[in-house]
Amino acid sequence: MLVKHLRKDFYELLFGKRVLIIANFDIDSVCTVKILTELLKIDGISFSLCPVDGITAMKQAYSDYRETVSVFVLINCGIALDIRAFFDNLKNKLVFVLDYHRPVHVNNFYDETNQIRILSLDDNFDEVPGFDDLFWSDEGLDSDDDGDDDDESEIMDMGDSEDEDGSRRRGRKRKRRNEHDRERRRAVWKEKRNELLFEYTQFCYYAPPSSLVALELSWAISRGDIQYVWWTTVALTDALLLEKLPRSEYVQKSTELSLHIAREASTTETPRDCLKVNFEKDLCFLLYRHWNLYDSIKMTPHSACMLKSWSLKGEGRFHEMLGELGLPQVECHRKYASMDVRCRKKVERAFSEPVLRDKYNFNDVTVGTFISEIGFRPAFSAFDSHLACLALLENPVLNGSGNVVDNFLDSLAALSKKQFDTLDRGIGMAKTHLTAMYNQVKEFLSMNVVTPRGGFLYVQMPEGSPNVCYFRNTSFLVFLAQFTQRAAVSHVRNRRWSTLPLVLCAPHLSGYWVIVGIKPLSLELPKNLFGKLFETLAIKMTDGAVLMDFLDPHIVLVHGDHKDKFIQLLEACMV
Amino acid sequence: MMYAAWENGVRQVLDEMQLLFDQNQKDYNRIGQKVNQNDVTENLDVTMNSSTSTGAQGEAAGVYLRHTALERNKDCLLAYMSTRLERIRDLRWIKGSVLPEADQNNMTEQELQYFTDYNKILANYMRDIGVDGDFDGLDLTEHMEPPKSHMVYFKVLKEYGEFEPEDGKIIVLRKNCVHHLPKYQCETLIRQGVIEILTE
Repeated sequence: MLVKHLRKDFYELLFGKRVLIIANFDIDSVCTVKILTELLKIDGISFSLCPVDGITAMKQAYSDYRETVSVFVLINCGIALDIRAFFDNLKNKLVFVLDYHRPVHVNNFYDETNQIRILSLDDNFDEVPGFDDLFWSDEGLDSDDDGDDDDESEIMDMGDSEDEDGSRRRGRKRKRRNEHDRERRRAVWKEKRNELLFEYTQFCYYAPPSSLVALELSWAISRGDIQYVWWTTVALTDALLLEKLPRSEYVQKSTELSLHIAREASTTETPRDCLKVNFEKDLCFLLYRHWNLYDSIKMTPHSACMLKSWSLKGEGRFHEMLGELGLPQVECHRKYASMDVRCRKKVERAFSEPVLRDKYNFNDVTVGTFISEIGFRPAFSAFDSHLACLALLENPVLNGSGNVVDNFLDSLAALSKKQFDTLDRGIGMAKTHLTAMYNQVKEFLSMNVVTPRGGFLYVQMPEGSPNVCYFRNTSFLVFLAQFTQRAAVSHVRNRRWSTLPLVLCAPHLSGYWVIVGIKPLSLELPKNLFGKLFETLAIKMTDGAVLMDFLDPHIVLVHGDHKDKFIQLLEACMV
Repeated sequence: MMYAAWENGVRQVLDEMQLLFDQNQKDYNRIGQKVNQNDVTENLDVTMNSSTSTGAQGEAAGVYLRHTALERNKDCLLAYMSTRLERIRDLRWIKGSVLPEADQNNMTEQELQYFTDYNKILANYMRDIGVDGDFDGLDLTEHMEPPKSHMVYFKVLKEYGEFEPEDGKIIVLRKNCVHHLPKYQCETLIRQGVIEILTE
């Protein structure tokens, strides 16, 4: 059931109850949890927070708190699962689902008991098949005809309500005839239903970030704050960077957020320690403000692929380009904040010069993004904050059992206004992560590991690779896969490769390998067919060989012994 | 926690002080006699700077030294006693108005008397707060520091299992979980150190 009114039908139902928030392990959840918990703290609502990194953890959290909690809020998890079947014994409980994964499971959408409520800003869920197409129903058969208009739409009652007419013999005959008709109709209906469901669940994609809903909620209860808008921009940046939303939708949402900023920013003289957020055009090089310009340009996926900076020749061209822009290499290797001021000013103008586009094919380097300033601290762009939080979230040092929570809390802390040291630590870790990713891609390309196999490109990370620990969780893994895809396409210059999706295979813990599939580069809309594909293949494999534990269906764990078979089956499927 | 009063030491110090004082008294009198004999009209301080008496100077120095030693002993004894009393006051705030046996045995009679007097004063003060109306007084010893809000946002450090606060609804406390609950329900947990308060 869709919630129409965020305040009346969601927030006000939380007062006086104990709430459990189950949050997925990604940046949008972190931002949404941050906003929601701030609101709950202000209103004095008791809650418990349980970050989960997979479906088993989610089930565990539910069973732990089942007796004691009456309201569950699922953030970025659960919408594609049949919640009623998944959470047993849902009597007297309310489940609110705020999830950006799509498609929505039809049982959740059409839940008749109103216990499962979906929070979303989209009013139209047009692609969900109609209720009548999915749920069989028998109308009272009081009409004699078995016309075609009865074919697809009939309402189900508990039992059959047969119509009795006068004569028994005529009644029995009619009964038999009606039964035959019903069976035939039902078979036709069922086939159509399966077809519809298959089409509906074939592609998995993402809706706009859940933080937008949380922001709307804060506005609806008149507790808006510029901080919440800032956290939402971080979540939106996540959607852009990991290609969960097409660029056009990112721009559209950014404009909406600018309106929020205009509303929340105080109109009078702002005191120094107030957070100021502006939407500006900024260079797309990741972390360049906190790093040096050279490394930033070299390791940002977009610019690295344009320059091919992993090869010697590419690096030479890069130096040449810097020279032509008038940026001395010494300055570029220095930390950005310590660069010569004249040089820094030149940087801002340099990258829009036409010579870059003509000679080096280096264009499209600016992106509209949100920059925040507070006090006398240096400016932070939403990309910087996002990468810092992500690095803290997927920190390999602490990663092991039981420390999902610590990482999640660290990431939450990095968002807050006053915890600067956590944020700085996150930036440091983000640099290490990016360097590891770049080195990994360089290794892939130099060893020619990216091979086309049938209908897709296949990459396997070797088992003893030193960078394996950085890519155990979903976000950086997907980021790596996208970088690899882009790099491979630009390296090989084979036009066909840009139409192929990519499958990346990396070693995970305890003998399992994690396999992620992403869409082809040339496809604009971020629709991913690997979710359904992996699911159908998993049924064919032996039990326990394939674990679909992650909440993103296009990422799956396969046991080492069965990995090759899985890939072969995939190849056979995707010709 | 209280340690046993170091009665032997205190007695020794007092004896030493008595000894020093007696010697000082003797020397002082002797110097006084010598000075009278010499019949010096100047005002004779029994200090190191006195230069007019013979032999008296050495003795004067000795008297001064013993006097300084006496003062020092007095300061040490007073510091010792005052620290013990401070600890007794802290005990009231940490452990409450009834002390455990061990601590009671370690305190002298006078210290026990001090404790009861302090209890009385504190109780009177707490009762007097907010006397108008039917407010019965405020228990200041309830919170270790002034409460800033009536909810607490914390993380569970040790696996605790099921916890039943005053209102009866059970909460499950697993290790490393984060909760936000009213403060009065969590006082015991905070005292026991099962949870860690998160500041943000």
